[in-house]
Amino acid sequence: MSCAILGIGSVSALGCGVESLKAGLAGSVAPLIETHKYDTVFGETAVNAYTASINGLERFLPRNALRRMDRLSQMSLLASFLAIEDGGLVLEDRARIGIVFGSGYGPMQTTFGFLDSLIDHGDKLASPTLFANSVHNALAAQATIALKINGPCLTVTSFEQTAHSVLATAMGWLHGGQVDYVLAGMGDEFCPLRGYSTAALNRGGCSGVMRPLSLDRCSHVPGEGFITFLLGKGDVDGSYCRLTAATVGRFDAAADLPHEQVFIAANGIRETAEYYRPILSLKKSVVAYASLYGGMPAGNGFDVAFAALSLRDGIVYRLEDERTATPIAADAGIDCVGFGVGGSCSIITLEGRRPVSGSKQ
Amino acid sequence: MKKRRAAVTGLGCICAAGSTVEETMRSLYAGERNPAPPVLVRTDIEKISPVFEIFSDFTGEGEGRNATRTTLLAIQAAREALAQAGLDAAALKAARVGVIVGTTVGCTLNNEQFCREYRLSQKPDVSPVTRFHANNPALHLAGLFGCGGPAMTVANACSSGTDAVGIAKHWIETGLCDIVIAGGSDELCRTTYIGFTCLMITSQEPCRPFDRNRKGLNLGEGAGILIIEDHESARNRGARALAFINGYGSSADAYHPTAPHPEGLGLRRAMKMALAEAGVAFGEVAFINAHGTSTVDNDKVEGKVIADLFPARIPVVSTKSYTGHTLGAAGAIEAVFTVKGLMDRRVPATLGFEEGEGVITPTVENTPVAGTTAISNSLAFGGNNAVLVVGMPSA
Repeated sequence: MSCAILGIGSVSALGCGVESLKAGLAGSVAPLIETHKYDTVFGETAVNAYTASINGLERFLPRNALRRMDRLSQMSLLASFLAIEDGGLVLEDRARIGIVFGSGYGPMQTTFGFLDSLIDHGDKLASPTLFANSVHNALAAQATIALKINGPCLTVTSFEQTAHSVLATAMGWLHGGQVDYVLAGMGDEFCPLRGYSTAALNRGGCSGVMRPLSLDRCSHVPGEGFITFLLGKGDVDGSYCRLTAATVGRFDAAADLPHEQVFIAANGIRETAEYYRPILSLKKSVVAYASLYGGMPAGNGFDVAFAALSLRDGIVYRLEDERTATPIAADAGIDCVGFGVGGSCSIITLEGRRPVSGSKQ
Repeated sequence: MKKRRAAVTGLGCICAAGSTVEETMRSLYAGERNPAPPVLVRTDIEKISPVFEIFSDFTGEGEGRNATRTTLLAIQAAREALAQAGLDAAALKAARVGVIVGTTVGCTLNNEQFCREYRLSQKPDVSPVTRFHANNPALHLAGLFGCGGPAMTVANACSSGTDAVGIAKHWIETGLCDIVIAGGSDELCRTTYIGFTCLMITSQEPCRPFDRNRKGLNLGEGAGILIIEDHESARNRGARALAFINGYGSSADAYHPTAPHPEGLGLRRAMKMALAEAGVAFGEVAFINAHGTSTVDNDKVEGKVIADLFPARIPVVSTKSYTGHTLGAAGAIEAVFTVKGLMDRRVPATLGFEEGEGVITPTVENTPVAGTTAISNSLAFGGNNAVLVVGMPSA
């Protein structure tokens, strides 16, 4: 049931495009982190937050088309255009392309914007435009319109299981023959109310510097961004790698990881930290990259992108303490593991392409 | 290898027409509906649109103080469906059980009080945020019933419930799950009520799907849940297949964020896709449970597509005339009605309809249906179209 990752589009605090992720791994670019201050019952609290850069959407769409589009829609649209561009394919039959997007919180800024409009102007004069754009599937709708894609279109929201839901659905569509390609994207945005909630929930007890492998302390720093994959069937010449499995459930993840290389989605949240501890004690190579993209429910989609890059380039970077680069075989596998607050676990497995000529470098 | 089939073994429903499937069907066949000014929603909008609110004493008692109304509705419908399917906690624990629920309100952090206090620098308590985290409908049901498989909340606006049931079908067929608790749930919400009013698509009169003088939709609330199982496993444990989900089609208009494509191109594709997946010809369809919101645009486009694809007139019903538009729950509630319509061999009248536009005429009285296959349509904001093909077991 495997499928091929043909293209990756990324919008994150590291910048735009898949090369920004590579630069983040190599340490030549640092994520943009801004500090915000909130007045909570615990006093004035500073919250660091990863801030995505959205540059280059004008390259794909006229400026007036962007005027009414909210930040999360812009991120998702740019990531999707970049994924198609990165895939280098001419997508002809647009009814045979599906879109599945996921987000933990949806377009929060717009949701709160609509509430602002009714608080400011009263029930009768609340903004219909903001309301229409506050629905979770507004991003996918914008993408279908901008990209003229007529195939199946789905939006899901399952907090930490969001990335799994998106990729498993995409794999199901490809396997079932409903589509030839899928744009599978996921992400979240930062907004002041999310910052305030982080400040109030952390009670000033967070370090403000993301250290995902330091499981004993809270180091959660909220993040934002959007990652889109262009997926196709089978093992395709020129692809990054194969997406071979997406499993989810309540099981002993440490006993179920088939590959030596493991990417964990630990992101400094204490409620999930304990679930990752058994994995760290395995005799496996375990890395975490949330310090590059920030904490967000759908963040482990970025881990999948880093895994695809690692398999393409044959290098796995370790970020803790000193940055090191270790070779990984072209036909190796990587298990991307994420836990939800309730302990449910998702494992997304990628494997290097079987030896074929002309691999993408 | 034998193809796995998605059998429906349990149904659950709560909406303004009734608090169980049987109670609801009785209301539908009796032609009873009770749209009324909202009780749960307070607003200073003068021109009030009636709503289809669930009896005001519904509390979902015993399910925990932190559960939202959307979650409570889903739990009630799920308990009814599980009971009919004969599945208890031990059975759910022993099988590969997935949960998939569509919603709109249930996945949106739209707490007005929290937002208002924050703007006024009143340092609001963050309990609305923690409550929001605890009430993702699918994750909540999965935790409550101890389901170990995938848990996915679909946020596809008004087609969410239909999409949830369609995806559950694929989960069964591909072997991802043996059992899926699938459906949709949405509560009546002040934010949504104001939003739809601002969009000027609500009617101040009871809705009149497909009528030439229709003025818009009425909002409703509720939940519909179907237990969908691999037919072989269901049979092995002695469960009866009430129906099968034989086809699912999904398609995007790629046209406009809120308006359907004027020619209904996306809906046409979704209907054809669903029928092709089911291996069913147009002439074999016994009836259509239409999306039928009673908005000017939706009914015009949907009516045109149905008339074009089904030139031989077949019964078309809009059950939103009894439930109002329950948004993320609508497709699931209507899937329940579609199964029941096939089982009962009749569909109810479309209330409020008096005079058509010369395109289609929906049912005007309880109408007998002959055949073993029916369709349920959903259209949504964003141009989503989702269609289910439901079939009866062979005699």
